[in-house]
Amino acid sequence: MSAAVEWTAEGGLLSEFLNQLQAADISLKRVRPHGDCLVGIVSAVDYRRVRPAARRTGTRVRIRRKRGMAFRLYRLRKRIGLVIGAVGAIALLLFFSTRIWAIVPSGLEQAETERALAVVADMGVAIGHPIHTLKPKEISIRALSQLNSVIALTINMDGCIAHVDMVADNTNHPLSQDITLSDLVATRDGLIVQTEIWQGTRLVKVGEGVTAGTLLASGATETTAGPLLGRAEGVVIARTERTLSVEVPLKQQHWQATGAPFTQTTLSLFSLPIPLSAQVALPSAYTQTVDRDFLTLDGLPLPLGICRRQITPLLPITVLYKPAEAEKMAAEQLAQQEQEELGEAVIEDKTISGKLVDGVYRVTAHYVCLENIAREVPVTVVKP
Amino acid sequence: MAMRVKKQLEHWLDLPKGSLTGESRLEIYAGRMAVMDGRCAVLTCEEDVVRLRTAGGVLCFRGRELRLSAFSANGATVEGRLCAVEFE
Repeated sequence: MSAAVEWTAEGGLLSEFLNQLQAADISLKRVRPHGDCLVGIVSAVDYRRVRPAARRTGTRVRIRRKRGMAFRLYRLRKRIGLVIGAVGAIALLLFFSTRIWAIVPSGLEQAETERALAVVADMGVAIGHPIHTLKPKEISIRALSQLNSVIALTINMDGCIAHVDMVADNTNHPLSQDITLSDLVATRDGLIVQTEIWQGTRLVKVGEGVTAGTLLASGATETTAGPLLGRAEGVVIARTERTLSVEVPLKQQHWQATGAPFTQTTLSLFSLPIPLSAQVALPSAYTQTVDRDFLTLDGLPLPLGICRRQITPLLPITVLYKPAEAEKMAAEQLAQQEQEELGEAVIEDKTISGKLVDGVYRVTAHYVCLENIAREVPVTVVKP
Repeated sequence: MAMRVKKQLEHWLDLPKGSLTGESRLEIYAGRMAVMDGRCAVLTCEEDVVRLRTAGGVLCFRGRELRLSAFSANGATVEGRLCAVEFE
């Protein structure tokens, strides 16, 4: 913003003119002869004091050129639009710099990331949300309590960018690694056929029957110096009896797509949705697919893009199944349920029975299987 | 008297000459620039000669395309193609 004036001095005592300026404590720059004149540069503030020195030495001083932003702005002082534009730009900049405009997640897979972002969005980590109201540590703790598959979550603000760094729980161990005291208890009733306790003291024997909740192994180990508390780890295989049942009604209600799907396009500008297509009233039931196409800068999503929602109207229809069809569907559902619940067990015997009762086909399967019934539970020691 | 004491102090404390007395000091950079530190007055300012009056006498710079790139109460800087520097 420093302004300077390039001057030309001619006539009179030029050397004395320079000395007078020096005596007036005026700094000169680039003083050079130019024909019979002297040319130099002085700051705009000091230029007013140049003229008295020029008068005393009989020198004529003229402005050759004005330099600096101050002179340029002075020329534009009557253009109110520019002033308003500049003030508006600064105001917008200040306003936008106080809000979140990009969220960069890391550490999880796509589906889990979307779920985690939805959770933190409810707590304030969302596009357009003011930054000063955010409490990242508090949000991290609250979000972790809702996300079972995440063991660490931190929110770091980098200007208007919120970095959500997450660590997935890749351990199959049901307990946290920092637990130091635990016991093994039975998860269900069964007859023990094999035990393999790696750590802790075994409390049951092969051939013994146990009920759910029975202590199978203790983390305490007896030593000559007294009990040594620690973790109990191991596998207890028991013969268990399981029953799974599936019901398939012969009369079912389904949703069926009716009519042509339509698309609603919106321009998202700084989290403000601006409709680009005619807004049609949404049907009472519909499915939608959302396609977001946002601008990016160096891989960073910008708060400007197009959002397309393809909406398919649905209508409820009633389907009547034949008993044979219901039986087939029940068998498929039972196989799926069996895979989910008994996937890790060895099935020794399986008895399946199915019957049609009151328009519902019910399949019941009885299993005898071998499975690990040991579950590690943490132990809290209360000091007297 | 004071000047003599300052000179003695400079000598005893092994300080650069003129650091306490404020005497003019001249530094020349490769024949392209000469920096005069200390109060001086301009006697002549032309393209081939710049003459400055200093406490130690009149200092004359000879050369081509000479100019006073800076001139203030603290000193002066002469730039250009310096050929000779002499005290008159």
